[in-house]
Amino acid sequence: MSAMAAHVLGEEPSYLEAGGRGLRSWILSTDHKRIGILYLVCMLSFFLVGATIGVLMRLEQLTMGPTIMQPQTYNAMFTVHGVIMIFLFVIPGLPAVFGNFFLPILIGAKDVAFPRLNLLSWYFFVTGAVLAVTSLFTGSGPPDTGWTFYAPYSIRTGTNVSLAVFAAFVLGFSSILTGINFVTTIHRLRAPGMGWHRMPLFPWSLYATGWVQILATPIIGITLLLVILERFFGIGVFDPAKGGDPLLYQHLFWIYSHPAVYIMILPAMGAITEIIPTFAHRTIFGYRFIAYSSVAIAALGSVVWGHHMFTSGMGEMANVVFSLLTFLVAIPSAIKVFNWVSTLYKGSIVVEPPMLYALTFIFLFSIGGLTGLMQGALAVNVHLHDTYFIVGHFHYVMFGGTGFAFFASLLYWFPKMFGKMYNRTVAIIAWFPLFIGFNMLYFTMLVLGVMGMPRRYYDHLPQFHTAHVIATVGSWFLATGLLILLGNFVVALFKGRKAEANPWGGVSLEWTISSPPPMENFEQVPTIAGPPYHFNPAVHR
Amino acid sequence: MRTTAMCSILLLSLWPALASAAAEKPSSDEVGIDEQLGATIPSDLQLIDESGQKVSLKALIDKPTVLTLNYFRCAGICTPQLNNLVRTLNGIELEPAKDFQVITVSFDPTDTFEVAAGKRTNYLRLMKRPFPPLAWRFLTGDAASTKRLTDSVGFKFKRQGDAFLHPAALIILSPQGKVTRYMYGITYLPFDLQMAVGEAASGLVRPTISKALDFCYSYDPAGRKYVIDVTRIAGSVTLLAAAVFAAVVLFKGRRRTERASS
Repeated sequence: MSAMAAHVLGEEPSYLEAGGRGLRSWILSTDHKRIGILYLVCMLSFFLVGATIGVLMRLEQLTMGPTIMQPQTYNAMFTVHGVIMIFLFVIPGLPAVFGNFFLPILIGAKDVAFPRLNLLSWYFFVTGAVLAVTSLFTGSGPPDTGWTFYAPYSIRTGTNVSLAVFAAFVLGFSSILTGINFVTTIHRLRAPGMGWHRMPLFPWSLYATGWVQILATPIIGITLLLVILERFFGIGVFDPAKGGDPLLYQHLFWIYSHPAVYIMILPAMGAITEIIPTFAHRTIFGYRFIAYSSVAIAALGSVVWGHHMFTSGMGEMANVVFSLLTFLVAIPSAIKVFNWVSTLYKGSIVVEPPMLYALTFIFLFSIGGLTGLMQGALAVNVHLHDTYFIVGHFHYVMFGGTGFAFFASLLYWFPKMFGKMYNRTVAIIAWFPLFIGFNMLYFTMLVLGVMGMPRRYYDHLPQFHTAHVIATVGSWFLATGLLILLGNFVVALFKGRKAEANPWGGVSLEWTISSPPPMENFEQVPTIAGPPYHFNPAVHR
Repeated sequence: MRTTAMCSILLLSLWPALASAAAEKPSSDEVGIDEQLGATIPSDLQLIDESGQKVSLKALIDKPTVLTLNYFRCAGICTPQLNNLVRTLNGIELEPAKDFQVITVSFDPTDTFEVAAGKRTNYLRLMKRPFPPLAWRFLTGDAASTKRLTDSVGFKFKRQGDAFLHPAALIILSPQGKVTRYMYGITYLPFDLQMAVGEAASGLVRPTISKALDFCYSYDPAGRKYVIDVTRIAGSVTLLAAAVFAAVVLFKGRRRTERASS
């Protein structure tokens, strides 16, 4: 990026020093960078809780019969694992952490458009999270409906569903406010000279995501509110015994929750698009295609929800239409993958840790995407519905995709965020157990699903036993890799050597300022004179 | 010769009836309800009341009437239907015998008025509120009379061996004997029934509601009740808010207060 900003040479205090060091200076800060860090800390904590529950569920499947828990506990476990991972980690994940931290910097702004609203969304997030956690320990037991809260079971179960649903409702507000904030920021605060087609692609993906958050999240909010009203007042919207329609619940739920999948993956794709040119030392291939494919994914992704309901008795015509639309949404996703690969072609590739994890993202996300297409085919879906194939597929997308993009982003931007460099060798060592464990765990699930293993069962039949053992051992590798990876960051925070302003040779605006960034980001607002990702061959090869 | 001619005339005169019977056969095989909204029950229909007296059905219907068609030996849905009706009647705020009445007619010609009287005693005993016996009549009748009644409201049943196959529904009649509403199934919400009786009192076949109400409340045919259309209202509000937001960010453009650096 040809930014003519003066490099700030560390004279100005960084955002970590300016504004104080106490707890109050953090939880009352309206600085987008500090709010990003607040989200990061919360989310990684929840991620560890969710991952622990995941490992426990795998332990249960290590042997046949009850291993470490009873069926009802297992039901609660997969519900809580889903709620925590989806609502508290993957959905807010990249936008809330890296979006908050880097969106204003990448477009040359000093903060987001509504800094106080930004802090308010963090408070909504924390309130929602506290409510979700409270629902586990209060009332008559943790919710056991699965994260989808399907009616009519969610209306009839005696477990603490109302509170968990209310938690998701509050979290929705956090998401909507963040969306409004980002869309406004992108419209209003771009640096002089930064037209839409000079904007980096991570902001583009956040822009598309923002609109999905604004338009889709209210639907889940109202739906969840109806579940609560139904539980307390028996209004009978979803309960068939009262003339309600459980299929209506599924429609409303997926009208939000499928676009939510794109809330999860679009920013991940955006972050990968930032990382790949930096380590290929080559301008991004097909800038406009990538930018508009984000918008296309957001638009098409909003009309494919019915593919979660092929076996729910929705009707032939609806099934065919939703199947067709599902195949269509693969096109913009594939455009991105092809453009990333084309960017690598003839590039000067350096496999630093962020790049390694970004490449892993492309590999795992492709498996996730292609297995998604398999389920988009109506006949195949009947066979695979509610099996481990589904579980394997969405873990490839959510964990292999968004999760690995989250790690890649953290590896890429950690030096900028904290001004410390982690141990690169350890980050690469962590990749091996992560990659091996991930595929042992989730590829085995794909196979188990095709064999007919149903999801959400706490036990399995003898013919599935070997595969379950492989998957469980895989989960141990995966957990080990995660601990090494995250431990490396913690060590770096305290003992890492100081990071340079531009350790990777990146050309976007965040690399033009010091690490960690100064309070106001830019001493002078930069003027943008050319397209992003402009690598000078003389300098960068 | 004379006999042959007589037989021929008889056959010819019967022919249209036979032909129409043959033509209607498929539909008469069906069990269910062929809605006759707006139709009026025959005015000259005579049935037998609980004391064995002949009564004119038309004369009985002088107020909104909930009509159920059953047979008293029924081992299937009649008992749960009437039990649930008792429960529903317990929950409605209208005054029986004043605001409305219930009439249960047996379409089985072998049912006697003694059995009918016993049924009435049983069901009134289940009531948790004062319910005058004249507010729930149990009537019987000969095959021809009851068939005319069931046909006039589109109630289609079929004999199978000793029993009958038949649908279950409440048929709401206006004080003039006009069919204003069907409530299908065997469970009814008090609110729905109250609404239906209210409509019948004013002879409304279909509910007329103001346009604004029409938007907020829609009739849910599967649930057979009025529902507040939450999804539609919320959807409109959300889309409107999003459109306003989009317009604002588009038209306001970039903020100009930031001074560009050289």
